[in-house]
Amino acid sequence: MSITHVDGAASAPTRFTLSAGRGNVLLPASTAPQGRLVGEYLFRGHRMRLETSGDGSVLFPTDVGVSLLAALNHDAVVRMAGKRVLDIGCGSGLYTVAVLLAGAATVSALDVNPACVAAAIENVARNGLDVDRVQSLPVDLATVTIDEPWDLLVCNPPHFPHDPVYAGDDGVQAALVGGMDGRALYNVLLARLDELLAPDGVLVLAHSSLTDIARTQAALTAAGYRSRTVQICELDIPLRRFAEHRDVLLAHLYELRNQNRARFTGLRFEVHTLAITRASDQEGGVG
Amino acid sequence: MVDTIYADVTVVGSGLLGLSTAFELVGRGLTVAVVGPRTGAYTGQASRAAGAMLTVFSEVESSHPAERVAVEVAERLAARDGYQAWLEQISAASGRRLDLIGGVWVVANGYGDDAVELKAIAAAAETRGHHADFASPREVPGLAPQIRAHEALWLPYEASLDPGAVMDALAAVLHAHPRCTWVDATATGVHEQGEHLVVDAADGGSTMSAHLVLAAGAGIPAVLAEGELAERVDAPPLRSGRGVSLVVRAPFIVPAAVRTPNRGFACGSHLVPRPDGATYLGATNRLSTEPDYTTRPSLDEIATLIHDGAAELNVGLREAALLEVRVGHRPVTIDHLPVFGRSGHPMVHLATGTYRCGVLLAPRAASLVADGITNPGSHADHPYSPRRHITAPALEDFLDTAARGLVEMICQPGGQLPAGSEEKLASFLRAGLLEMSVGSTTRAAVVRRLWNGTPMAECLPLLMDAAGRLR
Amino acid sequence: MNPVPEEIRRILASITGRDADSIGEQERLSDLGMDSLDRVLLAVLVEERLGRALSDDALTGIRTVADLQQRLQPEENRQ
Repeated sequence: MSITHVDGAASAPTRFTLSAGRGNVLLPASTAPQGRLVGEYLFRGHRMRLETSGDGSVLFPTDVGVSLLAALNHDAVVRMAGKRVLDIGCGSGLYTVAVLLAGAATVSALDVNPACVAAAIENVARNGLDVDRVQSLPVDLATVTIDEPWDLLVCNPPHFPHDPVYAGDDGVQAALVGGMDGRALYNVLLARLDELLAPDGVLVLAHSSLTDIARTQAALTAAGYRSRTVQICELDIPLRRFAEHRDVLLAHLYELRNQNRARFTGLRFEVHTLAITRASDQEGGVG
Repeated sequence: MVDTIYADVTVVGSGLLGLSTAFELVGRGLTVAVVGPRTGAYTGQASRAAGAMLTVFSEVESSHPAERVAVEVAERLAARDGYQAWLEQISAASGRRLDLIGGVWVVANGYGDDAVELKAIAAAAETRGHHADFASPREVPGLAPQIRAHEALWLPYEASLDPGAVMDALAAVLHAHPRCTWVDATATGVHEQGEHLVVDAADGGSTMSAHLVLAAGAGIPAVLAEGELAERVDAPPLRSGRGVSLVVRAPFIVPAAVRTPNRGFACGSHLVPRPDGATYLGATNRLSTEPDYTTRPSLDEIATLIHDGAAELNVGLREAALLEVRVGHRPVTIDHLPVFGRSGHPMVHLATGTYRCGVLLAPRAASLVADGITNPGSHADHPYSPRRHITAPALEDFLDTAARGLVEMICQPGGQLPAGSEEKLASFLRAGLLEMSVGSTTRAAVVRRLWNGTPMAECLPLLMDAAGRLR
Repeated sequence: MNPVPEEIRRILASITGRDADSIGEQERLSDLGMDSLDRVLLAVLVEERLGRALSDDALTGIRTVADLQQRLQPEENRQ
């Protein structure tokens, strides 16, 4: 039985800081013809190229999302070769493409916004990869039928609290807004983790400090999981899409913070990349 | 390299409005950076030169339109109603005692119209269920003016206090508060960086925050400067009324504040009791076309203050010992109403324009501005909103009623013109100023430029002065 | 020769009553006895005689005679 998870030696998380006032530092976006946005990223030695339409229907990767790949770049212990991967909330396909380049066998690209699943498959093709290795899942994680649990789950959930003034029906809102306290997708993931994750599987989760990291970790412990913080990235709260209504969004975040359910100062917050495995798994896995 | 300070809100300005707003914000769980000099005797800061009196009704003038009186008195009353509780909050947090001295006397002197002013003040109080007790001037302790006073009015709901004590207490609280960082330097500029608002300080440091509160009074235009951000903020024009005040040790006792009504574009004279038995004497009021904070009080300003104080309040002032001289720039808008709340930029808020009522309105400003941050949109239609429409009156429309005020200013307390002459002089001044404002002469250009820059009553003495200077 | 500095001194002389030749470049306007109203007059005279506009913001930044001269250099000569 191959074990996908990390070795047991608990090393301190890598910390890095992105400077304030700029966006898309980790994966800069340049504008291409017809308003398309393009960017390149080096993941575990593989050069990958991402493109979105630029019309706002699919979110171009933000530093929040890319920080997860940065964590996996620094910490190569999560092995991907030959694995079955579920990309939860695949967006433009950042993780789908990355794990395929790193040798994953198949990726199920799941996103409640069908435009995202389509964009992910396009980006797979764009990087010269075989689209037959991708399973298209334009469905909600809450209701997806699971034929077989996955070896590796990758997820960068939405994390902003909802308010009608800025959360419309735009497909991209689903990528950013997560219910009244921002935790909607986190909660679904926790509820279905047992059935989603293969016995020796790993969940790599980009956890926003706006959505109560401590609560997730407590829930994981209670459910028999172990969470290792691989990396902590300090960066700007990505408000660009909400520039006009950031005062309303921040007011909700202030309330959550007063209840100790969010941590941030000014416009700075943290994204913790967590590697989550079942506590019963053996230490020192061999891939 | 100086570290950058991240905060939810940066408050620019360390006067009473800035400190009060910072106090309210940390109380709501936000992190705050205050940028402003922490030193006590900061020249030019209005809060430091203030008396101060809580003038709920006694700022009312008979010439004010009823609508303006209604709005202003309602806000001042709301502030007064919560004031004791607010002081107790600060006391509890700082461990320092803060006392209100109850009551203010308003006295009517030799001006014929003073009696009308007192009636207007009394009406403002009584229509809102508060006492306004007329009395003989002999009953006013500390009153012994050169010009005989003919009437006095006691307003028990008004009060006075030492604004320096409140500011010191707030400073102590904020200095020790884990959610507050104080940059002890003047703010030199502000700009946007991404979604952050960056405030640069004179010591080379800077703060980055989501929200910005501009509470630097008449110094705001210099910090905001010109540019894209200033255009987006679209702050109402701010001017400053420069005032000189004295703290003295008087050979008489003033147990409760004594003041004259507003007249002649100034705020009259007032004596306010201070701790340790000292007495505050205020204040001159001259509209500045640019607030030079480094200019010390001139002997002329001090002489005017002493002259008016002795004439209208107590001749014993001539024997008083001088303890301190202060100068302050009272921030004022063209329509004389404060600006509290969100500006044209969703993340920039204003807390200023309080003119002569800053000490009274500080907790109100703090509350309205904080609401705009924790509950955006909550006070969008408030009469003190920075987004309100402010009309600049044309000089000719203005002179119709305002020329009379010029005559009163010329006559000074006790001054009398022969019967009928006041009318004639007012008409002459009106015609003269109007005539001098039209055409292509240098004088006309100066008069127009002054008026367009500050289209308000307080500009008239400046127009007279400027028009007369040219040969 | 640049006639601007001479004209500036003449304007300042007419406002302050000082002799034009005695006005030095490093002197502050406030030391010349000019108050804020005098500055408004200065702006108006500069506009009339030199055709150059001085906004209220520009005026605030002018402390010395040299500042004023620098501000009013002919456009081509400005550094």
